[in-house]
Amino acid sequence: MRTFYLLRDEKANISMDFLTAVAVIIIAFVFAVSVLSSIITPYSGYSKELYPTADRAVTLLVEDEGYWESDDGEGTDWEFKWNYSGNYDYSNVTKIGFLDSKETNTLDPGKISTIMEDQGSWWEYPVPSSSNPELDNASRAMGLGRYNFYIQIRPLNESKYNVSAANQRATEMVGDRGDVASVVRYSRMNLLDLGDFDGANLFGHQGPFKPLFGLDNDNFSYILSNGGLEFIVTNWSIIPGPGPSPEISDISIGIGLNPEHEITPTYNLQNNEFEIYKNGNLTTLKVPVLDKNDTIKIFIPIDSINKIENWESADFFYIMLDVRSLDVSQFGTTLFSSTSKIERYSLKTTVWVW
Amino acid sequence: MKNTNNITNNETAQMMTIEAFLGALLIITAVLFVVSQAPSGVQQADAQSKTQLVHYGEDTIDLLKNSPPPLDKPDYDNKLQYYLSENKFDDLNEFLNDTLPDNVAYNVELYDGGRYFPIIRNGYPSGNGISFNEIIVTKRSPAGGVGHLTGTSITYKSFDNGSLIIPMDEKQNNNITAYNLILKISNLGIPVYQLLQDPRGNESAGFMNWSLPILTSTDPWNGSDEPDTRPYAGGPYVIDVADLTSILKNQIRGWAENPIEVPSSKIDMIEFNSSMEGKNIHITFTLNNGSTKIINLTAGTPNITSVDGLDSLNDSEYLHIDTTSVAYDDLNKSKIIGIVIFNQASFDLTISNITVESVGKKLSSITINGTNYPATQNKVKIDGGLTLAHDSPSEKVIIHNSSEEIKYSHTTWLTGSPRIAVYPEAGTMTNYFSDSGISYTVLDSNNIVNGNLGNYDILIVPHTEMIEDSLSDVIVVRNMIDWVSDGGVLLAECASIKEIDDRVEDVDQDNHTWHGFIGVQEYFNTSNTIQLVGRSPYGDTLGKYLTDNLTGNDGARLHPLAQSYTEDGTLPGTNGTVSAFRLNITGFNPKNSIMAVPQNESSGVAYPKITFIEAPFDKGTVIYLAGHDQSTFSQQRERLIFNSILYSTTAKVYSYGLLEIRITMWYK
Repeated sequence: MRTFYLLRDEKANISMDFLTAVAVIIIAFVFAVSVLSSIITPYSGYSKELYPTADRAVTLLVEDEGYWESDDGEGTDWEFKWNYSGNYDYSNVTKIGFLDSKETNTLDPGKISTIMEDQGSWWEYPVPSSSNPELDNASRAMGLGRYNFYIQIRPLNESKYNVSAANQRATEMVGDRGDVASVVRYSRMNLLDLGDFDGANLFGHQGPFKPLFGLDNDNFSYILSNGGLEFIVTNWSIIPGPGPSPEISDISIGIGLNPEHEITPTYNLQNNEFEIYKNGNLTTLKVPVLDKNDTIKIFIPIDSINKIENWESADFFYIMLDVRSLDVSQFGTTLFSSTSKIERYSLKTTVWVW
Repeated sequence: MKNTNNITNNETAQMMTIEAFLGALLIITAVLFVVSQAPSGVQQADAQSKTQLVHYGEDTIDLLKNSPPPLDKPDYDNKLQYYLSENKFDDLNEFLNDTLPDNVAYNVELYDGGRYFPIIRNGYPSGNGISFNEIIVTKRSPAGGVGHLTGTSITYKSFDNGSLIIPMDEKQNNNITAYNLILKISNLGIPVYQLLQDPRGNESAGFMNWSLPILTSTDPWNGSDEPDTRPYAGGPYVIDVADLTSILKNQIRGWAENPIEVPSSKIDMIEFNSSMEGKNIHITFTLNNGSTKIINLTAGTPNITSVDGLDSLNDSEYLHIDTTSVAYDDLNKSKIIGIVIFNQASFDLTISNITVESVGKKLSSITINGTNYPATQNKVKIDGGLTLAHDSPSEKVIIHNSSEEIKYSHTTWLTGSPRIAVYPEAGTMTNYFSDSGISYTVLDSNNIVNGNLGNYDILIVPHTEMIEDSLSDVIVVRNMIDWVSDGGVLLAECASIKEIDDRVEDVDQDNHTWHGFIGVQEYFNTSNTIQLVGRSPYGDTLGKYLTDNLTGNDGARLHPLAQSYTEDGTLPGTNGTVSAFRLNITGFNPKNSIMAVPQNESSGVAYPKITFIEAPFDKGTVIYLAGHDQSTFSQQRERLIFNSILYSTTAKVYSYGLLEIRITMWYK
């Protein structure tokens, strides 16, 4: 049997060999921990998942068209299925993406405006007014699940928007939180800008004259991005008297035409379902147009457009004016695309996740 | 009290107390705690930043490809094609600068299938740079041209304070040796820029861009000189400070201050009273300490040896005669041209006299460094001796340092160091080598038949009368045409010019509507001064623009080939059988640039006689320079040779092309 003899004042003393052995073990242990740590660090733990999550989300937003599916079908035009019924029903949208189409490789302003809040040429989401059901579903469809997030889309040209306001909002929404991942992507967006119609060169139904305006399906995102359809007519061609006083007496909408270029079936808008301005002043039908230079602006909000079932799937969305003593120069449809021009934006999309 | 540990045998390294266990556990626990608290996101952050950088790069290229061109340039498919086709590199720089965040730096290079050359440089990537490449079809291309050559790539460029300037006027010790340094710098892989100027007159006569005032110091290495505003003429070269590191700067300083490859002196010409062909010649150089160096040669052959004389003392061992640089005048067998002398001692050497002996022949004179010494009894005594200075300040290449930002709208740059071939024999090229130290490769017909031209940027056919025989081989001519057509630069001098055009016409008569490469019809012999000519900016007649000329271009104005600094736009004439030529007015290359013509007797222009002309030929360039040995009379005249050499790698513009753009990004 081995016996240890301890002398006075030698308690707790250890040999140098033991100390060396412990030091070696500690160094080896620390090395192993550091190696393991560096290997497993990128994608382990909540904070370490933030960056790949943000990267995946922003990549989906700018590189994917999005997707919806239901018993009625499926498609990439999810913007028309987002809260389609108006009853917080977002369940059909499985993926949110802002890409217009992979061919054009540009973002769709309609898709952006469907979920993002337009703050004057820059967009953000969520905003304080975002409902919880919408936020939950947006989070789900963007792949952000359990994470908090904030998204901004800005033009790269800083002269096109209020930079300080956008910066302020980012600061308010994200602040200086500890673990925040942000990813930036650049994209392009083509924004349709409708020009004024020349009243002396309108197409429509003749006998009686009914100016007919048509927006083609490719430009339906304009309705979403602008919350409706707005257009202006000037330089009217007034049919000289005798006859009824020139006026706009009725506005109807629809998605089909008969051979005479009249909308069928038609939906006559009531005064509370649109806005009409004469020379900048809000008014109601019937609107006299006594001067050829009278400027008439008509705005039909998307809620009114939604009165037409499945309008988003139609080839055209039509607006027809019932007029008196105002000329239609040619038989046919006055296309919005005939006056529109495309404004091209370079955009910066930033997603913060925490 | 002394503490004594009594440890019995075999008890070393054994645990002594339970406290040791507790201590070790405590340490391990502490370490674990520290490790757990240590920042763990280093690698993660690195991976994240790289991912973000990849997004920046790919998205930026996508933006460029998807952005429309300017409204007034609807022919272009997108903004990237517009930028590269129109050389709008500053606009591209602005786009990138506006797009990328402030903490991201970038360089942009273009790859033409042969070389990368930079168009935007903001420094060197700090180890974590990521490159993004994209193939672009350009309407007009600064490189990689698939279409035909349309001219030099000239663009606006700014250089920050601290950039290096290599003067190419009277502020430079030796304009020719400066080219040696320029080629060396270009070989480092950093761009060498040139500020193109108008060499046809002077500032007071209304020539814009004749010189450029820049605030500079003359000591770029120690900064000891007070900056002063100096006018720079003759097309100075500039090294952008953004491309310089301390290592590169030291390398450039070493080359500039120690031009060891540059000869100490040169015998321009040894002239006899009659033809020396086949004769044995012995040339003895006697130094002032009595030692001698003897050159034995047989005229017209490569048999040349250099030996120390019997009475040699130490000094002659340091006198190095470059036997490879001895050349004969092909048109005048009574002349030896170009013997290059180096001082390899660590002190000055002095040659007191030179004796030339050849049985039955008489030495007339020797011309050394432009001074003619008449011979007496086959001996030339050099009054005061010919000093070969060791480490002479006058041999150093002058470099200045900009003390302000340089902004210049007519900047071009070298895409690389030219690879030089000479055919069919060195001829006067030996003189150009001896003046500059710039080496070359002599090709024979077999080399050209075997396709060796593809390894070179410029082919020089010096003053030689052998060209007609050499070009009798159709394959040689065919390969030469194809090589030029594909982008090569051909420089032909003197007697070879018309023969080349005639043979090209024989072999390739259906390819182009004009005669040969350019369309030379007739030779003239004149020793008159030559006048640089060209179109003036506002269509006036400054610079003797030839209103009825056969050229559609600006001639010498802002042309890299014509950069020189005489104040009246004149250069010395060189006599010889072919010192001017005339174009065939019914069949000449319509895109030619006539850059110099002989003066007439009243100092007007003797046009349609022409001395110096260039013309694009498909993707390549053909340069014809009439006159005898360009090195004999003036550095500014000899510069036309080196301008041509450097022109072979000067950035060009093509009608359209296929380019690869490479954007390298990194975090600042």
